[in-house]
Amino acid sequence: MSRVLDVQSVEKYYGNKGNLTKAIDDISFFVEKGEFVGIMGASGSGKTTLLNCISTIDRVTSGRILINGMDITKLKGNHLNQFRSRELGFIFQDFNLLDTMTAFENIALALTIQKVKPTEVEQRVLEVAKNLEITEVLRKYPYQMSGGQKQRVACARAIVTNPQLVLADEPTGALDSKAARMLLESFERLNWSMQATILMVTHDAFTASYADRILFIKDGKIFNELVKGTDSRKTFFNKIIEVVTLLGGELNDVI
Amino acid sequence: MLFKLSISNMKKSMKDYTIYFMTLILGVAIFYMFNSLDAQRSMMVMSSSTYMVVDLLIHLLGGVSVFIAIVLAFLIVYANNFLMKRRKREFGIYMTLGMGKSQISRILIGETVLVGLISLAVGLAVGVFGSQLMSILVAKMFEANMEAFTFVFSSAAFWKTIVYFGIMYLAVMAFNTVMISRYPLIRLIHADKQGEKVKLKNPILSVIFFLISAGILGYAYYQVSQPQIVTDLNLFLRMVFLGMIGTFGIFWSLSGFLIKVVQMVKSIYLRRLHPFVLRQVGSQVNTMTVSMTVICLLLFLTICIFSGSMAMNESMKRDLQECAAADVNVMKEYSADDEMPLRESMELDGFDLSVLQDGWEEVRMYRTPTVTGENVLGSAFGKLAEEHIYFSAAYRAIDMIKVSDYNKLAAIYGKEPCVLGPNQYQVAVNNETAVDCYREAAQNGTQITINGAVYQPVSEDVLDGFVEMSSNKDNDGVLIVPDEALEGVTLQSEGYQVTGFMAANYVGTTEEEKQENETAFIANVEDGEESYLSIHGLSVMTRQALYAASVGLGASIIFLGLYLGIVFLISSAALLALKVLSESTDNRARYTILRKIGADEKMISRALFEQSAFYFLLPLLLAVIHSIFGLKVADYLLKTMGQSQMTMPIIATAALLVLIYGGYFLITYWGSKRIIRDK
Repeated sequence: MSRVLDVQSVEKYYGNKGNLTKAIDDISFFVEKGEFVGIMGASGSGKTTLLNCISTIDRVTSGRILINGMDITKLKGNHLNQFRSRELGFIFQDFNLLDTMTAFENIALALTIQKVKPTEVEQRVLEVAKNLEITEVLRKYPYQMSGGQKQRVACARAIVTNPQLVLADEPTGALDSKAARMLLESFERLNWSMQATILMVTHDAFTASYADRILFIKDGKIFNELVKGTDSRKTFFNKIIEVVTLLGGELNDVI
Repeated sequence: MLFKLSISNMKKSMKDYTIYFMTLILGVAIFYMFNSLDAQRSMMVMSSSTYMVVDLLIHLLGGVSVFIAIVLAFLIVYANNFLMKRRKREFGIYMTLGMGKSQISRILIGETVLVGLISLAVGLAVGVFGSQLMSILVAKMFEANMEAFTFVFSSAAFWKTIVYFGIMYLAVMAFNTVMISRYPLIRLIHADKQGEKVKLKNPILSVIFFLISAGILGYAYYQVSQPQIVTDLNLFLRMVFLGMIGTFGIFWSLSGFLIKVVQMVKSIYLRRLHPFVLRQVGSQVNTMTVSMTVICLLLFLTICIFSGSMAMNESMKRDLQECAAADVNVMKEYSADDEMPLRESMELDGFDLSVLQDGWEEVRMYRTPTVTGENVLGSAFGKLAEEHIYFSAAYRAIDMIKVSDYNKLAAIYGKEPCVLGPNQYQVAVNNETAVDCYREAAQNGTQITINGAVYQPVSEDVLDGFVEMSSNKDNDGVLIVPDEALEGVTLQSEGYQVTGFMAANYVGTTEEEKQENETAFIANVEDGEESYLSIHGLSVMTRQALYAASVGLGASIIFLGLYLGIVFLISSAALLALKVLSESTDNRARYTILRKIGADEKMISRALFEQSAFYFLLPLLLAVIHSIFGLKVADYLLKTMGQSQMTMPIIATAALLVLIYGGYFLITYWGSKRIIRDK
């Protein structure tokens, strides 16, 4: 299997000489094609910084990040923007849907930004909507949808471009448990049926239990790694809880 | 301490204040410039020859100034309101830190004083230098003496500007104080989270409304394109009202209509950020219906006032050259107890005839109740009476002149002579509407009877000419008949009113010589100085008097037009700019999302440009369409006064629009670009 994401000894420092904060302290890992990887950690552990670096929103201090063999830390300006829109799909905690546009338009926008042919746009949007079971809300505006629907629309927007890597930042953070479960099941389905590679940041053990593999981050370093393997989700969830307990800190409180 | 806070606040929000400052400075500068007109030397030089007209202009400006001050006051309060809205949260934070409302009010007062002082100082400076430019413009436009141009500072206008704007700033302070004291803390703190509701309208309803509004506008356009609009004030007002309703309806339904239509064209709709821009415009035009309507109507007024006033001035200047073709006219109405010939009357009254070029002769005009405009016009009479609001010849006896006499005048005026066969007549006329009607009468072969003899029109066309000089083409018909027709008519003839008339040029070639000769010509005329009417009932009209009066009138019209037009233009542009900028603040989050999902800066800038351009172009576009028909009305009005010529004025108006409106657009675009870049 090919490596979609390869993070090689990435470091990210904030501050100056006198007062240096290591947000990411020499992290290396990789994600293979079709994998569903979760990253867990308490707030302040550096998981969001890591995601920002991978999503090219932030720059690394040292190290390399390869996406499909391309070193994105070397990309600049418009190449970076193009790369981001072509190779990456984003799902955010607060959905980030445009409130003035219908679900259809929100999803279509991801394609039109990439200058996909207008005739093709409609067909691809309908296809992905069917996959995520949101065909009936396509004509609605975000304020007319439930949180779960909104997040699935955001999800559709992220994958409609067939990105190499889907980055999800606390995707269930703003959802109730039922909506969260539906979204995660959609993720699983995407992961299985469309071979989408997903990297998800979360601090919620239940959400994380849907992933194939989980990286735990503490103080900017990888603290532990859990692989689901043949375990059932329930067993995997219990293993996660164990690690979380071991990690201590805030993560304990949120279960 | 508080004052320091004021200053640092202003420095921090400088970019928000750009539009506010620009509007204030322009307002102050224009207010000063126009009010300082009376002190300008070029105006003074002109005024020595333009009698009361410049006085009239300055009085008019005084009155209009008050009106303008009110418009500017509203604009300033509105602009201030916009800035306050953006800073509510800041005030909320001050309050949570323990600052009292009175202290915040004091900060705001400090800021207003500071803003007021700076804008007054800069605006007055701009105004003082601007009025120099205006002097040059005035001199050029009205052919005033360029040597008279010097640096002039009008202290009256200076103080007036300070007082008027001082009052406006006081109003702003009062407004801010009330605003702060009225809002509860929670609403101040959460101000930026309020009012983000997206209003949407039913697209089908929008399309129906749009079509209805377009229909209303179309009907109003059709009505104002009819000539009778000039005479029927009631109809005119009704159409103006319909126009306003239609404009409002268009803006109310535009977004829904636009979205519906564009969605049908997939190749435009699903391209780059087009769906986003479309929805942005859609959602925001919805919240801006009233302001868009006001802006559109202000722009419409600007365009009409500008081009109308300039067209009027242009046509006046052109007509003047043609219609004031000799240096002097003297006219005397004979009566039973005064039959002294014109030349002797003139000598007796003290006219200095030595300054006139030789070769002038007295000619006579005749009127009799049996030959009227109605007789000459025949079936075209009704049409003329209806279309020509100033038409008077038709109701009274028409002026008749012998063809030999007419040709003597034509030689002096440099007009084409008239050739008549026996029993033929011709009409000399230059008023455009009247020309059409007399031409129609001639084509109908209308016969007239004078002293028992019947006369036919000499041709199917009328003669472009006149007997009395005037400032515009207002000759609505003089009948030229063969000499034999009036052979037997004398001063004593029953039923005839006879007028003696002369036209002549002064000796001398240069303007100065002619000016001196004119002074000499009327120097000794008793009672002649003021009214140009001597004791023997001679009425005198000189070319210089016509020019002076006309130039003065033209200047008044142009200045009022410029003044009102610029103020309306600035008001509408500033209103729009503020609206768009305040929307940009709300839009920042949306543009951030665009960036997150991969739109590059170039694409975003383009979307923002398209979006801003939409806001600026929509009202302008509708205003231009309005103006096409509005100017048609102006055209009708001008035609009744003489020929109209709209090309140059429209180009000039377009240039001014591009300069001021375009300037505001660019500032707005850059401003909103900065706002959405803010992290």
